[in-house]
Amino acid sequence: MNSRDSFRTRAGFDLVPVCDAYEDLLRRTLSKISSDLGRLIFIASTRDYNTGAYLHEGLGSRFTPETASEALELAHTQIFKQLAAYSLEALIEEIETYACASRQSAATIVHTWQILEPYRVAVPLQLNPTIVQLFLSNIRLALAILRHRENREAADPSTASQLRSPDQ
Amino acid sequence: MIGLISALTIGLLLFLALLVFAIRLGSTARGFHSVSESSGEQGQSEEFEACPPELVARIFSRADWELISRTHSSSLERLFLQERRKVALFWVRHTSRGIRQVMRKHTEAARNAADIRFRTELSLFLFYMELLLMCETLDVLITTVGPSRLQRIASYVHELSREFNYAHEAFARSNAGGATETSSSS
Repeated sequence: MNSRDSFRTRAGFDLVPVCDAYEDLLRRTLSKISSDLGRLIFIASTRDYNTGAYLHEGLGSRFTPETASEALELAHTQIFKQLAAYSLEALIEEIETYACASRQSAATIVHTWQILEPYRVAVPLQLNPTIVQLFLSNIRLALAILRHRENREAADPSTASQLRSPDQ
Repeated sequence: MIGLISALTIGLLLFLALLVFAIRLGSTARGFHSVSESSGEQGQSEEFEACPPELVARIFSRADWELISRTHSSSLERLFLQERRKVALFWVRHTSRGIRQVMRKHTEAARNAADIRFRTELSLFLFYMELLLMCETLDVLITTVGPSRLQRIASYVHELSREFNYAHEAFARSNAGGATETSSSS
């Protein structure tokens, strides 16, 4: 038996194939996304809402669908923890970078996110609840700051804009 | 006469402090239980998983508060305090619950252990009481002072809770080792 296959994590993952799939995911897909927030939203979008399993055709065909799902889950948790530890200033930059990459104005994204709170679906299934609370709270605060800057700019156009337009 | 009045006052204050502590201990447990229920499966985990230290530092971070205060917006300042207070309380109650969970496991393990050292058990119990008291104090301070001024005490509580967990794990390991030796020699 290959010793690589015998090494399993506490969660029961076959670590080596999952690590290979994880590396592949980082190299081929996630490195092409410009922000951690964009990476988080991308990974969350590959998750089936009913089963919680992650689906990625390319990765699934290079490895197995189960390995791909485990690698995506691992990447999801890692990126989520990273983002939860971001300072508010860094998180605001992430939202602005994400807005630029998605060709939307930051103002539009701020307004929509404040109402719909779509970032809630980006929470991994198994995680320390304090990390989840911190992430959700920080996103709410970052959006409020961006909204405040936007309002201030609207009231006084001479104020230097902190909200980047998608063309910038 | 004045000495008697001061002694009675101090005694009364101590009694009130103990009473408040006992009430808070009970309400915290009940409060956390309802928070766990409202947060669904995430609070139901059997294993206590400590929050990473960098995230504890972020919850009590002063840098974020400074960013907010530069906006000169009272509504943003209020929102920030409200949000951070909520997360900080969530963390301290989760930690407190985790410590109790570890102590429960330890009590069960100690009940089945063949060899128990009274001094070790006593020091572990005092450690447990100290931690619970620290959590309760932090809970009160978060509500009254706000989290941004409590980074050092929060890091200290976090470190202590990890040490407490390690102490229990070391006991469980040595106990399991002892049990294996006993069964193999018999």
